[in-house]
Parts: sequence; C-alpha cells; structure tokens
Amino acid sequence: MLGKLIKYEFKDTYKLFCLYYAILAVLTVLGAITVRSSEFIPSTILTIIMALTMIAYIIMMWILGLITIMALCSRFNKTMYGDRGYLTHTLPVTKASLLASKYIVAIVWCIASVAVMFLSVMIFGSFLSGENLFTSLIFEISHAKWQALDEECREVLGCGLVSIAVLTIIALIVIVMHLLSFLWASISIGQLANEKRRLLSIFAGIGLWFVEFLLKRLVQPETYSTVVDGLANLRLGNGPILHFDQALLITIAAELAFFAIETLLIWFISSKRLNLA
Amino acid sequence: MSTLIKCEDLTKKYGKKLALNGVNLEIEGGHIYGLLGPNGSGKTTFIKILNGLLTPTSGEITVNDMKIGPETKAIVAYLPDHTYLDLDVKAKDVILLFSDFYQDFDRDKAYEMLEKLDIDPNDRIKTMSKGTKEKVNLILVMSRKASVYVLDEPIAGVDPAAREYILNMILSNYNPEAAVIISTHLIADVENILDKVIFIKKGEIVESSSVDEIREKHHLSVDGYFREVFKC
Repeated sequence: MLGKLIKYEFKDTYKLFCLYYAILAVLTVLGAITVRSSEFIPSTILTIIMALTMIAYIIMMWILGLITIMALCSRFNKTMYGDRGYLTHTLPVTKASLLASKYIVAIVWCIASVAVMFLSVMIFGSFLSGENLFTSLIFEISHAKWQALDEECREVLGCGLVSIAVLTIIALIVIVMHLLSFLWASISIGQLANEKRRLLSIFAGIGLWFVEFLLKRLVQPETYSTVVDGLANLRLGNGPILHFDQALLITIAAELAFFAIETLLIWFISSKRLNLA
Repeated sequence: MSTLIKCEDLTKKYGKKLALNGVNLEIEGGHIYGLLGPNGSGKTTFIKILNGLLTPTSGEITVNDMKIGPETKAIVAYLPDHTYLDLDVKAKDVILLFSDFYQDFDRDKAYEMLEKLDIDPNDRIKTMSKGTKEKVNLILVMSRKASVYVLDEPIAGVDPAAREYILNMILSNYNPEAAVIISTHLIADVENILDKVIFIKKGEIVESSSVDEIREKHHLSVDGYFREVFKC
C-alpha cells in the first residue's frame, strides 16, 4: 500500500509545485532577457520592467523554500485533520505507511525546489555574464585537482572531501525531515483541541521548540552549540574542537533523534488520539 | 446471523461534555439498522468511532472481533455526512483511487451506477451540484462488497424525489450478508427499508429492537414512536 499512497501523494501535489516552478522559470527568463536588453536598448520603461522583474525574481527565490514548506504543511493539515481526513483515515492502510508516504513525497519536493532554485540561478547567471555557467561548472569539476583539494580539506577540516560532501547532503536532508516533523507534530497537537486548533498548534510549536532547545543544551551543551553556531566557531585555526565530519555526524544524530520523537508523537496522535471535527 | 459490531461500555467525552455514555450494543449482519436520534444525540460520534476517526475515551468497539484498524477499514464502507473528496479531481479519478485501495470495490458497478444516474465520469467534483456530489459519494460506498455499510445522513441533502432513488440504490446494491447502518433524523423516509432501529438519546441507547416489535408493542410507526420518545 505504501507505493499506492506515494503515487496518490505525488498525483495530488505535482500540479501545485509545477506551477511554482513554472512561475520561477518565467521570472528567470524574463529577468534575464530584460537585464540583457537594457544593456543594448536604453529605455526608462525597460529599466522599470527590469527592476520589477528583478524584485519579483528575488522575492520568488526567497519565498520558494517557504512556499514549499507551507504548502506541505497545509496539505498535511487538510488531508490528515481536515475534511479530506475522512478519506485518509478510512483507507485500509497503517498510519506508519501513511506518514512514510507523506515524508517521502515532501522530501522529494524539497530537494526538487532546491534543484530548481539552483538551476534558476545558473540560468540567470549565464544570461547576465554572457557565458554558459553550466559548461564552466562542468569544466571546473572535470579539471579540478581533486587530490590536492582533498588533502587541503583533511588538513583544515580533519576529514576527506567525499565524506564532507556525503555527510553535508545527508545532514541537509535530515534537517528538512526534522523541520517537517516539527511542524507536523505541532499541527497534530493542535487537532487534539475541539476548538481553536490553529492557536493550539502555534503554542504547541513554541513549546516543542523550547523543549528541543533545552534538550540540546542539557545533552551536549558545548559540542552542540559549536555545531549549530557554524564553521566559524569550530576554532579550526587554533586546534579544532571537533573535526568537521564529527560535527556533522552529531548534527545528523541529534536531528534524527528529534525527527524520530516527533514522528512517534504524530503517529500516536493520528492513531490513538484522532479527533476529526 | 453473526455479530459484526460489538460495543462494550463505549464512552466518549469532549472535555466535560459526554457524547457517548457507556454504550453496549451488538449489530448483526443481514439487517438494515436505523441509528435514530435528534441532533447532538451521539449518532455521528458513534459512527466516527466505528470508522476510526475518533478515539473513544473508554470502552471498546470491535468489527468482526477486530479492533478498529486497517483490517476493519477494509470491510467497512463509510459515507460521511459531508463531501470529503478532493474537489479538483474527476469522478473517474476517485473511482480509480477506491479500486486501488479497497479490494472489495467493483469498478464496473461504479461506472454502471454513474451511467444510470447520468453522471459523466469526466466531470470534476467541484462542478457538481450538492445532490450529485452526494450521489457520487454513495456510488463509491455502494460499489463495495463490504461487511458493514455505515451511511451518515445519506438523504439529508437531496430533494424528496432523489431520496427514493438513493434508498432504492442502497437496497439494490448492498451485500445481503452485511450490516447496513443508516443514521438519520428523516425517519419517515427510511422507515420502510429498516429492519431494526437503535434510538440514541444524550449518548445513551434508549431502544434497540426490530421495526416489527415497535409497531406491535406501541401500535405506532417508527416515526410516530420516535416523536413520542424524543418529544421536547
């Protein structure tokens, strides 16, 4: 049944995300064309159009991530605890498969949004600079002195380039998973109330955040703060506190632990405390 | 006929408000039950618990000796009292979804009923009238060969002419070995198709007997007896 749930989850969401991506594509092309045109044809109207397109493009880039998360939360709320929940929760499937399908599809859309944003920047950059950034990137990758880079990486960060790349990708995915579980758990707590569910969800979100913050401080006060404060606080120059891969591993473990706890909470509420209005 | 649904001391509270108060009930296959009671009596709460949409505060409910879960959902066909389908999809998409998830769903039967009711499978749910949406919902439910059919207010939103058609549709399409539970307050309309009735008042079962028993014992129709029991 998991495969079928994933299929319908994609079927229900692809139109919305494709629309977002199409808007971004149009803004990318429009922005690039107006910028290029304004170089050759001086015109006030063209400059205004260029400025407006640029503003729209920058806003769209900024909010695409936000839109992705908001759309996923809205859909979760609607299909789990809204009217559509009547269908969702009467399907002969386990809550585990239901949640798994939602996570898998949500993560795919998050990755797709990042990929689309990257492509957009590359296309826009190519138009602006007049050179094909894709071929430049491929050229750089194929001609890079990987061995030297890897050695430099080991010297500065204490681990190889490949492990950093792999761990960074895993960490980003796990952080997104945790963000989703945090928001979905807040929504799930909110539906326990018979009235003012949104308000309870907001308070639940604040409460969860506070509990997580305390736990992070309690469990590993120094290492965790070092990790979340970023590379600058690793004190790499004066003898690193941690190797970068160790720091990433701690981040992954902590995010996974919170993800697991919040997912268990969502599972418990949706299977043992479901309260559809 | 064997007992399909069994409730033991089923209680549901919303905060301090008691919606169901220690309900004990057995529902057998092969009968059409009327779950009758005024607004706020606990009918929908009972139905939601039976379908796993609400969790009881205490007590137990089983379907075919199984606790509510994926196994019971596979044999219970449920018609909620409002449209729960994605409004953007077409009727044929919903049929595909039901045939994908419910093994007892008969796709051909669903298309046959759509045709009889002159509903285009390519029509989107949002373009349909309220009555047509209800008919589509009912087609989805009645195209299943379920062990239990739970119909929450199936005729509430349609005109009197359509009511008769819907009731005929239920009668001619349900699995004869199944239990059919019809929750409604339009008793006069459904009275003729009911075998048994369950009266529910303030979360408690006040009467559970056959329609014939009521007529013989009280010399009243079910509708008349209902009016007497629930007199304001």
